[in-house]
Amino acid sequence: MIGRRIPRIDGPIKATGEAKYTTDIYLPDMLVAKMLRSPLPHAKILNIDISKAKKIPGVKAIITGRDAWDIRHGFIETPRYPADQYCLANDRVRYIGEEIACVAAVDEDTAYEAIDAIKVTYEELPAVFDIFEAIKPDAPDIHEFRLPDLIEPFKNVGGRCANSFGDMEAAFKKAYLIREDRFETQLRTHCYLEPQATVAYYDVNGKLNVWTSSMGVFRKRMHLSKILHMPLSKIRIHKSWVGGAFGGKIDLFSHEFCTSLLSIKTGKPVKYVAERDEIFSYFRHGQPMVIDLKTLVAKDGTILGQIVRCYNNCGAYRGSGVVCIFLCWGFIILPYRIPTLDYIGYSIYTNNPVRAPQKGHGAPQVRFAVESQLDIIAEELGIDPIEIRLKNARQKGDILPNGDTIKNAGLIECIEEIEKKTDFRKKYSKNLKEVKQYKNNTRFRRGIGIGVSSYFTGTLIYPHNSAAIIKFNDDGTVQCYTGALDIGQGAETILAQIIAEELSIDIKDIEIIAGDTDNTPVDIGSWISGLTYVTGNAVKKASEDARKQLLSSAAIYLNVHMDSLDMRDRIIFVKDNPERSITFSKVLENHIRDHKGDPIIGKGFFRGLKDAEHGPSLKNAKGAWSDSYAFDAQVAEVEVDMHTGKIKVIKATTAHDCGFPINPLLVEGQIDGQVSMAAGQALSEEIIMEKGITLNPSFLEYKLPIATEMVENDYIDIITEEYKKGHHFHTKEVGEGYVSGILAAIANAVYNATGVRAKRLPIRIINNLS
Amino acid sequence: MQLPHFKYHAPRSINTLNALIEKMKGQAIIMAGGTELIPRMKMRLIQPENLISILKIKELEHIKIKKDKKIEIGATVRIDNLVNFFKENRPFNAIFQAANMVGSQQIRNMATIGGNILQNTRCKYYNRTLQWQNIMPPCHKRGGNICYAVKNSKRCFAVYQGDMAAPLIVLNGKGEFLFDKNFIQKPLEDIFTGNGAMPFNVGKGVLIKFILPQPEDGLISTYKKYRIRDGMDFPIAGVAVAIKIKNKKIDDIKICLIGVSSAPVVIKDIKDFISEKKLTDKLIHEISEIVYNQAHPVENTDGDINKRRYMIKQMTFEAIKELIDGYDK
Ligand SMILES: Cc1cc2nc3c(=O)[nH]c(=O)nc-3n(C[C@H](O)[C@H](O)[C@H](O)COP(=O)(O)OP(=O)(O)OC[C@H]3O[C@@H](n4cnc5c(N)ncnc54)[C@H](O)[C@@H]3O)c2cc1C
Ligand code: SF4
Repeated sequence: MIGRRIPRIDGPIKATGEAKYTTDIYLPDMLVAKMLRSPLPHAKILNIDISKAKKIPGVKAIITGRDAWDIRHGFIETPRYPADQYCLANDRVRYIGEEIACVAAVDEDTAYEAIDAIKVTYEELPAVFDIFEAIKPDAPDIHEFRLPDLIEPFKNVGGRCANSFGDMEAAFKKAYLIREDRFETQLRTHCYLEPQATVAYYDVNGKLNVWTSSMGVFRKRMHLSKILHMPLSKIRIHKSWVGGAFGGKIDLFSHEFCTSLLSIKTGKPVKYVAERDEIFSYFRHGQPMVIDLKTLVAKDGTILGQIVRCYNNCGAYRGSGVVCIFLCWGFIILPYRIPTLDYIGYSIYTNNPVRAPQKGHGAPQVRFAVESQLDIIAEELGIDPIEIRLKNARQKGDILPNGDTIKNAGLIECIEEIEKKTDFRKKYSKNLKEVKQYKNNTRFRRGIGIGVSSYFTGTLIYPHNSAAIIKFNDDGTVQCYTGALDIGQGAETILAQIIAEELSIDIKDIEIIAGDTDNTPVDIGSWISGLTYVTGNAVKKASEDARKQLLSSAAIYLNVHMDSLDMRDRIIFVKDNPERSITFSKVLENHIRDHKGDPIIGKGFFRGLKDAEHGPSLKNAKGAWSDSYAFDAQVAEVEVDMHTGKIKVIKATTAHDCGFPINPLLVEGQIDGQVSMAAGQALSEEIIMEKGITLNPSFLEYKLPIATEMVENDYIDIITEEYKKGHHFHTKEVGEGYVSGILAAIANAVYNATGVRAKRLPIRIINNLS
Repeated sequence: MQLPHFKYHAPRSINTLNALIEKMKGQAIIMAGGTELIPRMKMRLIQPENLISILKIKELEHIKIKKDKKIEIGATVRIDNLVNFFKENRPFNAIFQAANMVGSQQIRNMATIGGNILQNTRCKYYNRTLQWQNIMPPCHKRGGNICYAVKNSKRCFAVYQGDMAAPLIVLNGKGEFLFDKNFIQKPLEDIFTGNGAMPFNVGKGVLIKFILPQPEDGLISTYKKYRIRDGMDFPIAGVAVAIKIKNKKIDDIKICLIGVSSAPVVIKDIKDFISEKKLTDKLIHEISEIVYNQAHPVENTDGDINKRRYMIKQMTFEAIKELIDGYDK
């Protein structure tokens, strides 16, 4: 079962429309919630008058900041980075679209009528949208907050992460070439097809039942409990299927709080579904970044040191910006050996909507910069892109500056294999030569480019761990209880495969009961690229536990030592004499009879970074970060129409060291998705904003690639890990790492085709058309 | 996003349609495929009390080739039917090209040719939900007196992006409208005002059909569209070219642009410019330059305006070159 290309077990219910998403949940007497949002990017709220709105027939409750206690929330809540955002604006709004009031009414029209009837008096304040304007001494203060250790004369710094090591002076002395560039990445969004949606129902027993489109039910429950002043035990997050998230649904959102509070106030179920233009305009997108990158190299291309400054526009509240600037450090030190580093990342407040993680969370930004610059350097030194990467690639046994060990690294093999498979060197130098000889008369030009990336596999952040329970039906079929939430990546399929492998049963004999805070054990969630590793190991251990119990019980009934037994298809048999056997069903029946009713329940749990107390420091990047790191090399082949500037990614090849692929089909599915996302980021996607207003808030205008523009993919497996019975496995992530190398590869391929070096995304070659 | 409340009518004949319109004293809105109207209603850009669907009127849904070789296209003929009808039709290739690139397959299945021609002008500051609009004071097109796209402008520059208008205009198509029980024919290029806020001068007239003249010998046409993606997207620049070749020379040429102004732009002075000139690449470049100089897009839809203008030149060149190179084959 492990390593097999099993189709998704949730396929049929999704293909037939049977799967219930949050938007599909209808409860009797359910009310509709709509949100009043700030029309101003920065203002004091002087008064909110809801008296007229309250009187509209059909309006059941209206809440404003006054109903929301004085509690703030944040993606990160630490002494250094205290929570900075109210669920409903209190006395001030800091971006267009910030939530001010929420109405529950009998239908949508009535809710909107009430929204229109609420009168808010504002005192407008000066606003700032650009990061370099926002740090100036005369910029308006978006928050009172000051970082205690900030040494720069910058305003509006929401977070700072600094880390340096090595002898920079010596590196400068040794350097043969010093290259300095600025790279900029655009504001992009997740484009989950299922909109943000929540149904909340506060029942007569005082329990708050919540269905919400999320990435992890236990994290949502923790946030809601804090912000609602309710014990965890009084909140139940139910499972509903999730139609994509890509990082955009992990934070707490205002509507989750508001539907809950409105249900508490009215005693009725309350549903909120975000409009698509609300999502595009006011919800959390990814993190646009400016990266100043200075790289010092020796004559042979060995990197001697890097000086990096990342400026992240985190929007009006901290969001995940401070995590992103820590991660950017990580993506600088990961795939290549960097002996000397001077890194500072700033997360800067502006009067824009707040930002969230988005697939890669810093990696696409950093890899685009580093891989582009590496190609520039290679060309200046007269060495090829493959050689410079091989020279600097991390290898097994490397110790990262924070102390983490690279236990297994297939990067060198990834680069070597991809070179062979794509005939990279030959194509690259041929194209480069041709570009230099062109007299602007070849219309369609081909280019090839490479990018390298590495990604971590889970870290410690609440809820830190996963647990799982395996129980049996009388017929020996299995139910697994896990808090994991399948958000479309195939979590349930992977977990079922692990159980099937451990218990040697058919996948059809397994039912996964998942993602419910009351009915399933704790789970880390579908984020930080840790689910298969952390939850997968918990499920593996639970299965092992169940297997062991079954075998030891069967050994008694078959009168042999348990080591001589094996199992298949719900039958336990003697290895040397398979005729001597007993069914799971019979073992269970006997076991219950002979063990005071014990039905055999397997229990398993797992937490990564077993020696670490907590995750790494966001201030200085010190401390353990992850147990293992995935590596990849990716090659893009593009065709550029020099008459129209149209760039097409013809083919993408990914050589990946994802540890051990539990299901190669799903690994490829993840790669396909990430390659198409990278193509969108490279070529067409951008949220266009003007003074805090989004000008393309629809799928018509936000240029997500369409079906006919999907890229043809090829894959190379570099397998560095093993799946062994009796040991926890060290698979690596596949959910986020493959969006970055290919992004850089596309930019490098465009250069190879045209001689135009993109320093800003999306890539435009308008000024160089023939 | 829900629709506002409205009364729905679906007459089965032109007579009942007439009676309905009369009864409603011009207060009703005509709906065909609804692909353009429904989104505008959801955004509350238009809130008709009465909606008259014309899809049940059989007379409007046929394409006919008349005895005199004129082609009549009923107003509710679906775009997808046009794709099939004009496939491999050399003189009318522009219609096939344009129809084939309207929106997506789903849109083409629903969308009608009448609705395509009479679709409203668009702007990134206008085609927005009510909640979005509440953030900004109304511009000219919403009854205010400012313009966001062209700062300090006294008028609206919302852009006309109906793909089908360009080919129908270069092929000298006419529209037949029903005004107060009278059927009136107008050359298509005459129905536009050029004012983004009120793009048509046909008021409450109902478009009944289009009439294309019999194709003359040597007529060839094509359409080029610039959009960001391979599908879904409106034209952010479009060029239709019709050429009549006689004795290996261009005897007549008509060029119409779309997506760069509040109305289709019929290129002026082009026929005289080419008269009796030899057909060379240089000449085509010169024609493209003339066309380029008559395209003045503003920043109110996808893409960069310089690129849109540049693409007009590029596509004009390609269109003419393709037509001429293909002619002998
Ligand atoms: C995602 C998307 C993409 C699109 N892409 C394109 C594109 O690439 N190119 C393009 O040209 N268009 C595009 N459109 C716009 C639209 O779908 C088409 O223009 C379509 O042809 C409109 O036809 P319809 O029958 O749906 O019109 P409707 O929506 O029914 O009507 C459009 C307008 O015309 C009026 N009207 C319709 N028929 C008559 C009549 N017989 N008499 C009088 N008035 C009438 C209506 O009152 C309304 O104002 C797109 C739309 C969407 C939603
Ligand atoms: S062009 Fe100006 S006036 Fe017209 S819709 Fe756009 S912003 Fe409004």
